[in-house]
Amino acid sequence: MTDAVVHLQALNKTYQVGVERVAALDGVDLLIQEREMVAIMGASGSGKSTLLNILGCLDRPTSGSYHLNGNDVGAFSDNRLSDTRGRYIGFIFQSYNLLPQLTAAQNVELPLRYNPRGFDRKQAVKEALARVGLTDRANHRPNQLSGGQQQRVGIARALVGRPSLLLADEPTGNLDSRSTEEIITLIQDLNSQDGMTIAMVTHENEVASATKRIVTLRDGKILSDEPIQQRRFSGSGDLADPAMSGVSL
Amino acid sequence: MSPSMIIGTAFASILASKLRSSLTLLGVVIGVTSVIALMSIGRGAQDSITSRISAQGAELLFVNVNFASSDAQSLTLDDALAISSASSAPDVHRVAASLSAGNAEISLGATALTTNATGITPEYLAVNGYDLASGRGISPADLIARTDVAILGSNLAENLFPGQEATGLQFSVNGRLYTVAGVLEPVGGFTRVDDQLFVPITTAESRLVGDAAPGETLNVSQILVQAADAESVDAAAEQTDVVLRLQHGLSFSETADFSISNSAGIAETLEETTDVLVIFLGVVGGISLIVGGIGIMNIMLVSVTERTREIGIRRAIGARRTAVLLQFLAEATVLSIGGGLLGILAGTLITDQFSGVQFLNTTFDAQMSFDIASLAMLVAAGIGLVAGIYPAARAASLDPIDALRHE
Repeated sequence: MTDAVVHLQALNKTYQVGVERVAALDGVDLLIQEREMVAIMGASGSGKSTLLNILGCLDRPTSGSYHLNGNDVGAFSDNRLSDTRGRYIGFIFQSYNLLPQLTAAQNVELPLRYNPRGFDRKQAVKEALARVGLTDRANHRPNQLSGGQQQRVGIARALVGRPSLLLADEPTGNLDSRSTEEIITLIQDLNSQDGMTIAMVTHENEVASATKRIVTLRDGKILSDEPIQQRRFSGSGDLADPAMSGVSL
Repeated sequence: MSPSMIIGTAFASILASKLRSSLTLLGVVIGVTSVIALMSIGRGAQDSITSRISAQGAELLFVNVNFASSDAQSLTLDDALAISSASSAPDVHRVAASLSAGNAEISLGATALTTNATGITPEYLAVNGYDLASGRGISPADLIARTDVAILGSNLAENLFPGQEATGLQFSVNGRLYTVAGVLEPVGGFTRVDDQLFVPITTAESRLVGDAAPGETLNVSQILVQAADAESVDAAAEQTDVVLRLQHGLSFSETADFSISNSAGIAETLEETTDVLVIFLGVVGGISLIVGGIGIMNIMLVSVTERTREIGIRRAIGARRTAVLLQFLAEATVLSIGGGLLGILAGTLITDQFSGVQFLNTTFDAQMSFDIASLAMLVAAGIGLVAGIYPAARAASLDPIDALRHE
């Protein structure tokens, strides 16, 4: 279990809505090993966003435990949670969430500013931008970039700190099919070539089928959790691939 | 995050919204500018008032009748002579007396004007430090003979005899012909010496005041005693007191029927009065500074709401609460210190405009000084910090998830 990047045990998250308590997550157990690429699926309200927030140390579970790299996150102070987000988590958002007043390079540099690391900041930013193929856009501001390019800046920002877990929340939700293909292929490469551990929330089957494992949630519980045959993302919406037939959605 | 990074981030955010930042800055600039300009002008006014008084010399003593005393006797020319000739008054350097003769009707041909006339003793001009531009002063012989001669203030001479050398020329005062003995150099100041007419004190008594009964002692309005130097003023005052008590037949336990004051004391009283003026102007400026501070708080609060999402993003990628808090505090502080510096600049420029201005017959010098500038700066920085704390605390307390969802 110490090898696991993520280890969730009997995880519950309840919200108080008026007088009612609503369970967003209800007894979730989940192991994500290093170098895995997991899609988290489910209808809206199934708890997938809550799960991603807890994995990203943005939220705390009501009960149950979350071990990240073997450390019990539940015991972390607010400062340690912040530092953990900066050092061990890389977040990719649906709406990119870049700071409009900063250039691409400055946006990518931001996590390293809050959590200075042993390595050279400028060099790391350069490498991250090169990794997403945006070296020539380093000094552009977000509004000078296309949606796909902005998301690639977002990915560079997520990986610049060399996190142990890359979390993506509907990373292609705002993109056209061509950009979606670029982004999903890039995320696949980060997993297969760079060995990054990735968890990605999506409701698109084509996107999910680009991962190696699909976890499906319903009403805060894990409905199914199965490995799949990973496909190169085609963006064609073709679901005839045999690898998809065994997946229950 | 290192301090340089916090300040760097603050600058980046300020530059990112130039209009908002410059409006905030403007509030502080106006506040600091008004504090500096108003206080400098106030202090300038204070200085020009007190310097006028002390220009007469710290070594001067003014002896007046103490009307509060039940049986006050007038001061007389004999009193003045007694002080100057007393061997028991070694610290007294010179003594002069004056007699206010009120308004005098002056005419010369078609020119007619009214001005203040004063009867003086020979030492009067020297004691007051008035210099003659031409001619001579009042001589002891003038006093004895009650001659019809006059010394003119510079303005009066120019008005009566424009472009001419007035000395030796004649004009009439209350219908009687006088000869100009001398003309004074311009003096300036509030006392309007430049418009005055001076005549021998005896002449003033018999011709202008007109209550002279021959053989009686001559009453004077004021006796001026000049001490040898500023240090011996107190000693001279005591010696004058002794001589006058002897003259008036008073014991030392009795209340004196005269009062002795000196220019330093008058200056002190005036300074206390004008201090109130400076404080008042400072308060007016301070209020605008506080308004500027509220402007900062307002803008910072709006900016926290506007930038909720930015705060969420920063928190999500690893910013601690304190980093967000410091970022907003740094922005408020940079704005207020920047505004303070610009305000000092603007305040200095305005103060310069008021320097050397001729006002009420005197040169007015607004005094910009380091303590005013540093006070304004300190208050600006303090207000910026106070105004920044609440918005910054609110920004830091935002839940990162809620902040991220904020549209």
